[in-house]
Amino acid sequence: MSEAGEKGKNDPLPRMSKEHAQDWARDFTKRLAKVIGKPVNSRQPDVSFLGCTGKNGEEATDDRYVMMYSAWVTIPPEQHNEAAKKLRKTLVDQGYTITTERTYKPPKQSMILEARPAKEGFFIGIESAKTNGGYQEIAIGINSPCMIPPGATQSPQ
Amino acid sequence: MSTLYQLLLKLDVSDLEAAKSAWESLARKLETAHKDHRRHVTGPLANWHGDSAKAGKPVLDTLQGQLEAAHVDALLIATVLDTAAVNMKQAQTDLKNAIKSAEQDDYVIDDTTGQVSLPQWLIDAHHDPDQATVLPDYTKAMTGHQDKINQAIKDAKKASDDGEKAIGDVRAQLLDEEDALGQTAVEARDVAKHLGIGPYGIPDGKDVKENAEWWKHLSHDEQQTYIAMYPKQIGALDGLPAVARDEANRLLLDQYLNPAPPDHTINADQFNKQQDGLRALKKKLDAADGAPKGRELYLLKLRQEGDGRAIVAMGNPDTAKNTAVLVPGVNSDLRGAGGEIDRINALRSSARKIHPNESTAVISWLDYDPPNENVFDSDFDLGVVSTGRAKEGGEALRHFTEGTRAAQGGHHSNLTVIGHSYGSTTVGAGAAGGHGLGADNIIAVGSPGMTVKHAGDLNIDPKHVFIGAAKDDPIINNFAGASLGSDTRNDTFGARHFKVDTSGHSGYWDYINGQPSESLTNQGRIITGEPITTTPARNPDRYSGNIPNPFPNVPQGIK
Repeated sequence: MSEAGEKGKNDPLPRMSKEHAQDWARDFTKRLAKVIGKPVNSRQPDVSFLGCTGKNGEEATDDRYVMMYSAWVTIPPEQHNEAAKKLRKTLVDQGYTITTERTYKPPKQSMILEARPAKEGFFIGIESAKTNGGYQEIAIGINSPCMIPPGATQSPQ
Repeated sequence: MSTLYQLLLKLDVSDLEAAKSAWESLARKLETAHKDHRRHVTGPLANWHGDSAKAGKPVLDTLQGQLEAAHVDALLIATVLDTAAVNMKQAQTDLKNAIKSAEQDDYVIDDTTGQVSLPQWLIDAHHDPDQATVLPDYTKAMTGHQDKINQAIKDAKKASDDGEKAIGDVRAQLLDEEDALGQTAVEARDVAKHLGIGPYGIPDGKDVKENAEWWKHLSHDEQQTYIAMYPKQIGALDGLPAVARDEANRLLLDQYLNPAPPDHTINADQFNKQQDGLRALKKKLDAADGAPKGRELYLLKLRQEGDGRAIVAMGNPDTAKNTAVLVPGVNSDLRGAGGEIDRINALRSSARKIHPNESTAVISWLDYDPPNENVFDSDFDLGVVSTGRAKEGGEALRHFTEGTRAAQGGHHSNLTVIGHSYGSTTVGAGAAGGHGLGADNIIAVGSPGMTVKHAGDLNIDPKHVFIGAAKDDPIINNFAGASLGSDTRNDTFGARHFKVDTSGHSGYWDYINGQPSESLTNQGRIITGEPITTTPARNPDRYSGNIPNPFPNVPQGIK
């Protein structure tokens, strides 16, 4: 889970409703899919909202949350490495820092690309996903930082 | 006016049976309404905030509780009518048999009173000298016939009176009361008492296959009645389908949250602590009511006693391709239910991202009494903790995994059991005992020991035992290899070691820079049978003599 308040545990958290966060994530995945010239496939995205936890597993009592959003793009495995290159360039051009980058040649042929925003923003984790016995899809993961809905009171930690 | 004898002879229970069917039908409608309300009304509104939510949510919650209470009441009334009909019909059969038997022996029975008289030929033979010889036997037999007739009338009267009393236990005004759901537990108990029925037929629970078979052979209405009357017993039966256990335990949770009458065996602090834990669990369950398939929650066991116990599954373990069971460690209680459910969600999400077409269910298993110590307190000494609770918990865990297999029937889910901290000691004890946990993989993270010397002692191929150990995990660094088993980090333990990039004792499910950590991803990969990133095991010889023992009073080695 996320580390709540790494910078200063009582700093004001970014405010966004869960619905709005999902809208952003949906938009992000569509844009990233467009970069590799494929649409987001029709599978329902996997969306989870988790609590923000402290270093020793402490839980906040207010409504702060982290969103994890995954959607998938169907793309043949031989195109995954090329897709990773395109996505990398787009993300770097838009000010993201690449934190993890791995590509594997056949027979494992798959990739992982992770990026974090320059300032506040959503984190992006892209990797090959297995369906029908092979890496036939790419998962685009959008993870939020610890946020709190508008109107909710942020409790001191 | 008809006598009881005449009434019983003419008795037609078809009206009672029709009424019972009507109440069962109503119960089914209320069951559907209650479930629909949960999934389609309160579930999707879990994230509703603001002033209107403050005003509207309690109204919807009350309505949902009323639907649930009404469902239970309809089942109780159907049970009362059914029991009365069955018992009265049995009394009528007994009466008819008694009459038939008496008439076969030529006795005469009064049509109005059911009074048995001697055979006419015997009375007519009063001049026959043999009459005096046989008369005592015939008189004695006559008394026997009369007793049977009287008993049948008495049984019918009792069935009628019991039914009347039991119907009175189901209170019409119940739905107006704040603790309506708590009152349903009182009603169920009183109805059972007045009908003289107990939890007959419910297996003792030991044989999980027998539990599964028993449940399978009940009709839907019978299953619903057992759930309404005995939620605690049904909810705890390993081997039953997750859907049934969930229904029973959610009713139990609502009854625990609306205690009627209040429990005076515990003090206010204990009561408040229990209620805090139950509310934390309820909040998390309610928030997932509108969740899509695969992220729905199942409450597989609940106990409020002591620190409370709960088993919660995300996704249906009976049908999932992959099932994981996470056993928490020291200091776990119901108040931490939210954090535990977040952990199983993180594991499920990590597994699903790379295997979107495979269903993965993850279970948080808190059905034992972990040591209640602050492991981060500098004075804390895990050496004082023995393997006692782990062995007790391990047995329960083994029973649970056997039950999960029984509930799955022919479907074999890829089963991974994960133990954290003292939970790994419990997993070790469970795996080492009996025929093991029947798991395909075992994972230990932050482990102070698994009660055994070698991974091969866990009734599983050691290649399927995985260890995750953060470099700065104080529990591992201070206590591994002390009193709870050998040090699982060592190559001599014989397990596989996956890469851990998180920090401390509680970080194994963390996100780092907004991404699932390698610690978390590796667990997700093990659950779905994917390759992991590994790290070499420690060679203890390299360390021998170099690391001073900071706790000289803790006996080293295995006990």
